[in-house]
Amino acid sequence: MSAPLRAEAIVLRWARAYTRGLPDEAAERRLGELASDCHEQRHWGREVGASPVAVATSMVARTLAGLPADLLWRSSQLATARDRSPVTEGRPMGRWIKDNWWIALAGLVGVFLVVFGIGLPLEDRTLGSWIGGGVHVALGLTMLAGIGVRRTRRKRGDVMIAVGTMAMMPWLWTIVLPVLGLLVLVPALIDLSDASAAGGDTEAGAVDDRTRPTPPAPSGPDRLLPAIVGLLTAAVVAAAVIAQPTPAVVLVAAPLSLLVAHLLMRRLNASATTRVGATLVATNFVYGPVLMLAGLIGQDSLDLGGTWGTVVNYLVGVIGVAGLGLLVAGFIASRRQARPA
Amino acid sequence: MTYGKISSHNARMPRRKPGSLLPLEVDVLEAGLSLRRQHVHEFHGFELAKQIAAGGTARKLTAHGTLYKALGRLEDRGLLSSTWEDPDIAVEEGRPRRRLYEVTGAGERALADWRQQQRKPASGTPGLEGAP
Repeated sequence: MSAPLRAEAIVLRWARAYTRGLPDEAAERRLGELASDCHEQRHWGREVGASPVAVATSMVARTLAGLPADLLWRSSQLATARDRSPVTEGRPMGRWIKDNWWIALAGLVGVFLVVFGIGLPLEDRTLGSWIGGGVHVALGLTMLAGIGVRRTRRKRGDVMIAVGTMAMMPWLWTIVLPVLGLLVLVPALIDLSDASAAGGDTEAGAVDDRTRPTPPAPSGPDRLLPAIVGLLTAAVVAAAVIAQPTPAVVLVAAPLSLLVAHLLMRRLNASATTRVGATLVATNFVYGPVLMLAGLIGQDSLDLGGTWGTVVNYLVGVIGVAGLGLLVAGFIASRRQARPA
Repeated sequence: MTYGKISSHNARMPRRKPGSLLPLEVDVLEAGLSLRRQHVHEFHGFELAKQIAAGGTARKLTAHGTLYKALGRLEDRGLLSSTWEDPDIAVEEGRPRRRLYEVTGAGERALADWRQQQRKPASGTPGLEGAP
């Protein structure tokens, strides 16, 4: 391939990138004009006897010099498509951040996992470190690949990102790492739920979010179910890797109680009061058997003892009573509303 | 797209007075009218870029993004009109289809008004603002 043809390919590749997601008419017009422009410049170069390298350099330079204008043009086209001028209101950037912040964070986490995984065996040259490092690198690459895959296969990409976050969960003592993992995991699984509700696996990036009709949102709590199951999975993974009874029980019990509360709320179709009450009761409901089971199998590590033990026991009791009270209050309120005037 | 929207897209670009022209827009209209004098009534983007480059000393071909953004802006304001050429002609000549532009009457008047403003004393408001 000659230098001008290679330059033309670069010009058109860039054009395809910045016209992605724009209305078809605008995108096709710009691509058509650039294809014609490049062809004419190549043809003109041959006519005047310009060197192929000079023609190619000129084409690439024209593209580079026009980059800011291209991006501004894209912005104006998107604004036109939405029939409003969002730049003055700060909307497009704000909306983009709102929709995509977790993907950017997933990218950072993915890069961190890869770097961390490479560094782990260098620090400690044991077999365990090599395996652990390899797992971190693999999961980090899975996350990064998921970000790319998500553009054409949204659900698959979301799952890959969510799976990758699991590598962050066992690092509880750092606090920051599992929190970062959860900040990616939950939005990824909510997005997965949205993508499933929209009924497709190819929508992300195929059409710009701002020009795509809003898919019907999954009704109510169902949208959160994958995220809660993901939280529970993350807790189980963390507990399994840590392999210590106390944090394991605490870790798993919390999302388990959340799941129970969530499933309960789905059936209740209840008011906010009832929902909060159900959550508190479910928390007690799950922690009770868990604590009892821990006692039965001789795990007394949950017995905090002393003042803290007393505070925790009272707190659990107060939460349970408050939850029951809210449940009853919500039930009475719903009966009153249902009663004919 | 309205003119107000176009000018509001770049926060750093000062709002333009109605009827004012940017330097590149003047160049486009002048080049278009120059081509018309050569009996070329309709012109495509690269032809225009060549004509603009030929209009001054050591001027380079206008950047793609800048040129086509300006053409779209002028068309939105009714100073240019454009249409795709017949695809059969492009196929026959073995090249991509051209988007053909033409300077409208409004475009001629806008350029004439701008020239008139330029002839006024320097104390007046300049017709040129900002940068492309």
